[in-house]
Amino acid sequence: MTSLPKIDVDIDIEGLHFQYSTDAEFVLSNLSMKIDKGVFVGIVGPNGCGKTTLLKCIINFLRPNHGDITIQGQAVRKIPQRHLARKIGVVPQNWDLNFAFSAEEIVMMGRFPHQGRLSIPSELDRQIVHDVMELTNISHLAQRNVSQVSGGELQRIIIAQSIAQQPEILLLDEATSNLDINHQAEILDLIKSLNSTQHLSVVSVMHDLNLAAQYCDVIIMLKNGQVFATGPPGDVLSRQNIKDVYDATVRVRKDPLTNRPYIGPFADSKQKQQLDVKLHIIGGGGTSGTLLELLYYRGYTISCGVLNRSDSDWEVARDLDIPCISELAFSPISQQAYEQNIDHIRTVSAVVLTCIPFGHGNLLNLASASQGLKLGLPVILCDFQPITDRDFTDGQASRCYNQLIKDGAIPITSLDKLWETLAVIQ
Amino acid sequence: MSKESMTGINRNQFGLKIILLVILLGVLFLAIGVTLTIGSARLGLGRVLAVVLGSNPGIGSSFNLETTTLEQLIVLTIRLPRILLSVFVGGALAAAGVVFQGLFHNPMAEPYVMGVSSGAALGATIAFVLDWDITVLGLSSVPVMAFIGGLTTTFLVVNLGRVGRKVPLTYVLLAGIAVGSFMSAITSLLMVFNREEMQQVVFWLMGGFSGRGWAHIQAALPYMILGLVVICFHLQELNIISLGDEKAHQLGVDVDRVQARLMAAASLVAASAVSVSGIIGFVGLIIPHVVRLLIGPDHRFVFPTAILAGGLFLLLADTLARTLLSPMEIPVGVITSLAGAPFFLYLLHRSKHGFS
Repeated sequence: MTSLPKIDVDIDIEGLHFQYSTDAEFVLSNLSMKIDKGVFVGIVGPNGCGKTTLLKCIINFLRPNHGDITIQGQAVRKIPQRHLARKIGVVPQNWDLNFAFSAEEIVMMGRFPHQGRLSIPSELDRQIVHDVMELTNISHLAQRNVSQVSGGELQRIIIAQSIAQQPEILLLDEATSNLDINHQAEILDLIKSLNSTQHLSVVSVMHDLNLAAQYCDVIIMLKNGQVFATGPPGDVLSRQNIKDVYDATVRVRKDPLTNRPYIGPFADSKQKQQLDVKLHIIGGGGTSGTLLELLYYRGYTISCGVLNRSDSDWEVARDLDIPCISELAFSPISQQAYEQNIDHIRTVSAVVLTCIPFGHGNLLNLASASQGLKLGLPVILCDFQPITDRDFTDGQASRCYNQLIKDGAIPITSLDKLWETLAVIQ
Repeated sequence: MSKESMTGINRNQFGLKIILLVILLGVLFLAIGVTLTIGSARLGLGRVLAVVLGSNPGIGSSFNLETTTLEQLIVLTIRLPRILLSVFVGGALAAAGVVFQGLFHNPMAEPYVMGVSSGAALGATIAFVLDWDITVLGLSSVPVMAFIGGLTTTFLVVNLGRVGRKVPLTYVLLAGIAVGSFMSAITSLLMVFNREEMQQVVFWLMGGFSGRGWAHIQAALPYMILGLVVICFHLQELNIISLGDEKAHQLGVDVDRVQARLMAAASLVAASAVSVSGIIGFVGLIIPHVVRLLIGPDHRFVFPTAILAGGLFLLLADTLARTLLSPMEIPVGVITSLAGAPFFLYLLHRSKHGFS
């Protein structure tokens, strides 16, 4: 008989309500969540959605108006402060520094919940402090006055203190936002490794959705003091969720290596007005994704094809609901798909061929462009890279391409030229 | 850096701090001995030692130390209690200063932030004006009323500044200022209506140890010790609280409770000091500063070191007070302020240039 692995719940929150004063709005309203032991959880949401307040409630610094918070099966308000500090460590966003303690003294304070009445450090305490300072790469700062270290160094000292606390759950409140990108990765890698080797549960409020996507097992997305979505990064950090919660238009791609989402902002996303120009984009190999988005947000009615499923361009088209003629993943374009594509091109007012590398499998996309010309449509060629550099067909593609130019296709060399050309067509 | 060298530095620093404590203690005892010899009646160190040791029946009989009644009167009844009291009061004020500076996260806080001084002043003024002919524990009504006044004011300030279960320090600070001004206004009013007592009150307000005896020590010392012992158990918490309430909470400090205890204990210590000495300024402000400059901010060392340094400082100040213009006395508060105010400005200057 094998039994299922037992998953312990570290933090269980039921129907949490919180307001800062009786006449203020509820910052958290009916918020419920469960955080399993050993999981790296990211809490995301726009400013003011209650992320930090939630953390403060979890450590019993703020008392909720209603609702229950249970830490490892115990109601948090019934756990003595010192015991709670052995279970939960917190890395805040920033803190006060009024006296000139040395870095080592600060880290040693992390041992407080484990020490006796007079807090005299034991050999074990010294060992732990020493190890943690090495782990966080601050040994060289041991005797330095913390009021004289840089912001990044200070943040690492605070993180070291929380690790020296040896908690079972670590709460991070945008703990790495003040760090340079190298230290950011260093610290998050360290926390991730503690998470996987010592089953430290991590709950991190994160500003940077990409870091959240990269490090978290589970993302909890908050909106107006409630849980909007929970799940793996790939599910929660979708274009639609981010639109609904942040009111921001972003592009979401999958990191090809980790298959985790990658989010990029779109600056001109809000000025969408519908234009009466139908465009068909022939792309592939990741060359048309950004263009599809740009055209989409500029208000063009667009379609695309032929794209292989699994191509990132195809994913963009799917996310944006752009009509797309598609072919099976990793297959050459079939006659059937090609004909569908031509049928579609008949309905548009212009065709754009992006800077695709050509192989024998997608030569039919060049043929589609050529059909466009024959139908009397303007065909724009994105000629950002010479055709010879992206011809993997022993010259066949180059010949067709040059023929397109002879037949009146318009080669352009920059995006600005594209907008100019499209304006003329309009 | 290897582990050995790192902990080695720790131990060295730890050792240095202990050595400093021992040296201070030695200097303090030496200073007590030397100041016992200073005064209008000339007594050598040998005579003084003979009197002090002779006062212990065991030692006195075994060494056959012969002393005159006059010597005994001067050393044991006049000089010794006054000297010890100045040491205790100096230590108490410095200790209370350490605690309040730590609690308020503010190096400019002093033992009187909670209104102890203005309350004690009002209490003492009332006692002078009413001129009760009562004694409590061998003390006149003045120190008793000063003690009551100081503690009552602290209690008032805490309750006015309290928000529910929490005692936000900014509110306490503001309440302290408001209540302090109010108390001072009443004190001034009482003085205006009772001009005969005015000089006595003014003299008391400036602080001093003239005419203080064993009764004052007996009355004040138990409260001082009680307060100091309570503080001793919360020194690391005081370190952690200086990182901010929230961080302290996260590290397992029951901030509200510890703050309340420390406020109560430090106010008790300050009130007992004020009640037997009047209002002596700057000791509680400057001594903690100097000690922090010397040995760093760790309250577990700052606290005992400041007690010894405060005691030593006030002992020297009082010796100057009673000898400079002898037989006239300068109120010791004047001496500490004369020495302290320029020093305070110096600290201010340093803090403007990135001192922390």
